Amino acid sequence: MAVSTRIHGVRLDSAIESEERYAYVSDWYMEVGR
Amino acid sequence: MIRRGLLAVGAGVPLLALVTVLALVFRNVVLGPEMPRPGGTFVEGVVGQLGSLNPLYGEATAGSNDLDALLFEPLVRVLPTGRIEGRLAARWDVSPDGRTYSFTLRPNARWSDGTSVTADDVVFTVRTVQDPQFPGALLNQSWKDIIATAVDSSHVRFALPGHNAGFLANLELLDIVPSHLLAGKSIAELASASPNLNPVGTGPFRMVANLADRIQLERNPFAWRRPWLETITIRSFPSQAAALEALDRGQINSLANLTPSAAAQERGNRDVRVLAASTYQYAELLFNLKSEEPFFQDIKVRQAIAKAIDRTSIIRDVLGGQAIPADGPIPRSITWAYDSAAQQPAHDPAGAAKLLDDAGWVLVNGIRTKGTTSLSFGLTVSSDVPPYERVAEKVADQLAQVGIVAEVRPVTTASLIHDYLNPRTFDMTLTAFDNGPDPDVYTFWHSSQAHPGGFNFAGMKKNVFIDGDLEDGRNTLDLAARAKAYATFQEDFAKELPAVFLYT
Repeated sequence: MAVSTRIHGVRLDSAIESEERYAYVSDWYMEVGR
Repeated sequence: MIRRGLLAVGAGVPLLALVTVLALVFRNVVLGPEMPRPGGTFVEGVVGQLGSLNPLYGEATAGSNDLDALLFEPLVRVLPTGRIEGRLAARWDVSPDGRTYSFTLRPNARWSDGTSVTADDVVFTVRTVQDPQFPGALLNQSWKDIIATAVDSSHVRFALPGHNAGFLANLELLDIVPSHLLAGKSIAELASASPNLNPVGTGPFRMVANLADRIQLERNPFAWRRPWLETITIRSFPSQAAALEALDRGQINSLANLTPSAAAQERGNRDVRVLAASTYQYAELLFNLKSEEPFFQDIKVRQAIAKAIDRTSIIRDVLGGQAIPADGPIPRSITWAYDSAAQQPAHDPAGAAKLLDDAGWVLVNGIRTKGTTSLSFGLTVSSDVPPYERVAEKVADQLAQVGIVAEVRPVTTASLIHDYLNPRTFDMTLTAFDNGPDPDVYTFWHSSQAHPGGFNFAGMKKNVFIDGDLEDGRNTLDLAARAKAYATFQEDFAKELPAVFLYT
């Protein structure tokens, strides 16, 4: 899986089915603030 | 004056540098750490058709159902470590006899139309896949004989006919669908496009538009796990080259399922990260072991075939190095259950030739022959899904080097299943399976599953040790005890060699 460096929080388990790349999609983010 | 100015500059540069360093170091202290904020449009590229948006029918239609994972959820998810994560289920219990599983749904679980998720939704989903008309054979088989009961609106119970420690992994494959929208429809209606057009799920996103070349999703405001991303667009590309070009131009943010060459290319792109993970898939050569098949009854022939095959060169030449050799039906990605001590015979063409000689198959004009019979058989393979046909051709080349004739017979995947695997009419077949994160392969290798309609396609004769290992592996929920049972299974299996495992 190739992901833009603009997308943060993307991680994969050590083994996945194809659709499990979205397992932690709720943690992905593009916007940051303080 | 000039000197003072130089001195001032000389002192000012390090001072400025110090201030800059201090500002950077203490930036987070002064301003607070950067935190994720809601917003942003994430665009993913996929190659080919976008697939089904009906989570129960992805398998039946052989289409990709990756997008279902954004829209729908199962009750639980099983990790490669054996740990279980709750999804729609907040918690669960297993009865002491291991036959009753009770789940409590998340109290805040809602469908993307705002309706509460209830136990009736779960029972409806189970009964749908249990329907004899349901077209997905694997789901239908794995849920056969399981009784689902709604205890109350937020509790559901499953009664199993026997022990099945892999049940939670089965559960992971079952995305729950909304009974309030689908109840009363026939199986044919459920399989039609209608529910695909406006799927209502519990996943973190919900659909906005389903267009010819893209699907647009937005954050599901009712999801129990709220995502940061505002929208996700999935764009279809006709080829990987086109998708890679879009990635390199910044038109998409992500591309999955990269070929080895594409992954290598993108590792040189400073604007993207390449993330890799193992899968649970494996490719194998299945022998037809039913008594009418003349060639594979002799274990020396099976061992000779295993020794004749160079898995390393298949992985290097056909798969671009994007796989590792497999040694059995439990892939090494299931870390807690894989037994590295159970190895297949290593590549050894001379050893293969000797085994064939010992078995009475002598070389006549370059072909192994016994009496008037040549060691010549069909190697049936799916032509639909690359690279299996090319792998089969490479296997045939390698077998030819020891005098075995394997005639590659490409067929469609549907034909492979219906015309060869189910009726057991193949000689040898190259198949690929993905049994998910649980090591329970009872369905594929227990002798009770060798009957027509079962998934023990090889039809291996009853082996009390293998049967016993498989029973032990599913009779307990204790991971250590299961790991021990599966270690013994893998060692017994490697001795019996009913299949040659190629790669995972």
